[in-house]
This record gives sequence, structure tokens and C-alpha cells, in this order.
Amino acid sequence: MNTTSSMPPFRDLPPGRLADRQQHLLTEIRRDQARQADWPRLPSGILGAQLGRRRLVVVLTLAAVLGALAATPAFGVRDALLELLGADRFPRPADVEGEPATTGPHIVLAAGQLGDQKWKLVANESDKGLCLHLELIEPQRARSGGCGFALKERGIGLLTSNLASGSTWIFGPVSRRASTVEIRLADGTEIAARIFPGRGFAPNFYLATRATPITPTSVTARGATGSVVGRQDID
Amino acid sequence: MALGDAPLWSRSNAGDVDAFAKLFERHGRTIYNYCFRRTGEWAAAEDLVSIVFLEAWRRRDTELPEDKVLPWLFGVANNVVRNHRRAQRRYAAVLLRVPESPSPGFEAEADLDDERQIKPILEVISRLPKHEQDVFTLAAWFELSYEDISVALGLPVGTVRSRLSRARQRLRKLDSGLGLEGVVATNTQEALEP
Repeated sequence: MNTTSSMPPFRDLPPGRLADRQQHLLTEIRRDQARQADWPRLPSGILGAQLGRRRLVVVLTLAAVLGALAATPAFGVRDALLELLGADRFPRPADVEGEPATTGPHIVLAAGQLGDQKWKLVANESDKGLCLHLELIEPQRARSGGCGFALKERGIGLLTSNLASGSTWIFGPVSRRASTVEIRLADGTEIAARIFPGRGFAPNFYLATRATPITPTSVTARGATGSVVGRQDID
Repeated sequence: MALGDAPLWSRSNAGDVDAFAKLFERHGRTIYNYCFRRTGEWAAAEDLVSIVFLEAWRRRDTELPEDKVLPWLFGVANNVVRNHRRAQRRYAAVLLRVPESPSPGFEAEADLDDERQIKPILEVISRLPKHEQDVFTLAAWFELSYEDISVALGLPVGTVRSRLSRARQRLRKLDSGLGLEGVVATNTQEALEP
């Protein structure tokens, strides 16, 4: 008696099921792509399980200690963190007379560095609707964006930010049905933007960056089947 | 000529869903059998193979050594199987969308036979520490090399060797008390041979 004889032999999936499962897999992947593109891709629950309970406890304990430190102004950690995150460098919309009043937390959707320039993309709810801003942190400091996007009309919004050095950010909110966003440029070429999850906001968001000056003429969002779910032309 | 796993994985990494579908076509059956041999339930194995590949897609940016896609898939499957109740809950909505299929009676009967057959074996294996179960099943039942197990489980080869050795010792003791002569010990011995 050995394992080969006592173990049930290998077998195929029941007839037709391999094809069914393959089709299901493809459908689910495309559904996922349509719902939200893969950036940033966070560890899933299953992957999280790989950490192991002991390590998870250590991580949570550290997070709790840091949280307590950050919440207590006397320790000075909060101010240091705020300084580190550049929170004090930009007046928030609610702080500026005439700008929409902030009604929700400012969420950093994406951050990075383009050339030497550090930046982050931040969204918040306001009394004038959804606000989306690109914040340039270092070495230049600036903030550009807008509030009150009406996605129902176009399915996509478009904002552009340029630096004198030529660096360009093209970004905006986009319908959750979009799985791709293509930006047509003045020279006739097209570039693809990355879509990333809404993180609690109604739409998803997209962003394309280039270190050279570019001028968009239109932006088109397509669903998983290729149908247009949003479009905006620039006159 | 069919593309190898490495270029298919590379294309999957770039978002090519069709390339990923080919990997499913190629390795779905193996992973299906792995899931069965770890859970002892064919129906669960069918759902788990879907979950394994959905998890693999989520992790498609993983850089893999040349020709190690299947060992890595075993590693994903190992994690899914270990947490399969949670995985099934997490993917409940996804699994509800699997197309319905007719249920041919003869297969249901065959399922039960297989499940009855594997149950005592899994009972023996379940007495090993979990990390030894993982190494043993890959070595003995799927004939993975030390190197491949190392990729699958993210362990140094030396650790694979020592865990397998300890698993063999434990199984010999367990086996003598359970009357399953050779059921596990024979293949464990083979698995230890280079």
C-alpha cells in the first residue's frame, strides 16, 4: 500500500467546468478592472493572513502607540508628522475666504515625485461638492485644482497642472465604470492614464504625468467592453 | 508553438488577461487536485481553484524566477487552502456568479468515494504541525523539488529539508499506531530522496 494507490487519483474538473471556470475568471478580472484599476494595489485579506497573528499583533500595537503619540500634542509628534506631511504648507479651502467650505477629511489619493518635484493628489468633500487638488510640495509649493465636478454630464473631469520646467500632471475624477482613460494630446498622440480607487468618494480618479510639456485636447474613459463611459473635449 | 509559463506570466504582469487565462488552462487542473488533496472536498476544490487564480491575478506584479510559475501558484493555493473558510466568505459574491452546471449523478457518487478515501489520510496529515503539512504535501503528493517548495512557501531550501525530515519522523510514529502502513511513510521517504 502506498500513497499513489490509496490516494484518489488526479482528475479533471467535471466536463465543461474548466471552460466555465475560465470564463468566470476572465469575467471577474474584467469586472474588477472596470470597478477599479490596480493602483494602488493593497494587500488582500488572504495575503494579510500570511503575516501571521504574532506579527499582526506587533504591527497593531505599534500603530496604537504611534496613534497615541500622534494624538497627544504635548509629545510634539503630531506637529512633527504634520510638518513631515506638509499639512501646514497649504491653506485648506475652508481657511480661505470665498472658497468652498470643507465638509469631509482631506484624503491623499496618490503621491509621488516627478523629476525633483514632490507632489500629492488630494480630494475632499465640500459644500460645493467634490474637490480635487494637486499639491506640489517640494521644492516648489503650489496648489491647483477645483471643486464641484459634475460627472453625470460627462463621466469624467479634466484638470491640468504645469510647471515652468515642463512637468505636467493631467488628472480628474472618472466614472467607476471606466477601466481605461486615454488622453489625446495636441500633437495627435495618445497617452494612457492610471486609474485608482475612489477611497470612499463617489468616482474613481485618474492621473497621467509627464516630465515634458504636453497639452491635452480630449480625455476619453472606456468601460471593460470598450464602450465610452466618459468624454471631455477641450476647446 | 505554445508560449512557456515565463512569457505568459510576464504578459499577465503587464495586464494581459488572455495570457493569464492560458496559465489557468495549463495549471488549473493541478491546482484543482491540490485543493482537493488539502481539503478532501471536490466541490470546495472547484471554488478554491477559482479563488487561487483570482488571488494570483491580484498579485501578478510578483517577480518570479524563470519557470517557477507553478510552484508559486502552489504557494498561493497553500495560503488559500489554509484560510479557505475565510477565502470562501470573502469571495462569496464572486462565487455566486459562477455559471450553474448540471449535476451529473455519477460524478457526485465518485466525489463521495474519493472523499471517503482521502479522509483517513488527511486525518493523519492533520496531526502534523501546519508548516510541516505544507512541505510534506507538496513533496510527497505533487513531487515538487526542494527548490520548488522553497519558492512555493518562501522558505530557504535548508528549512524545507529539515521540515520534511521532521514530518517523516512524525508520520512514521503516527502511522504505526493507525494501521496505515506506507500510506504516507513510503512517499515521504521518496520525497526525501534527491
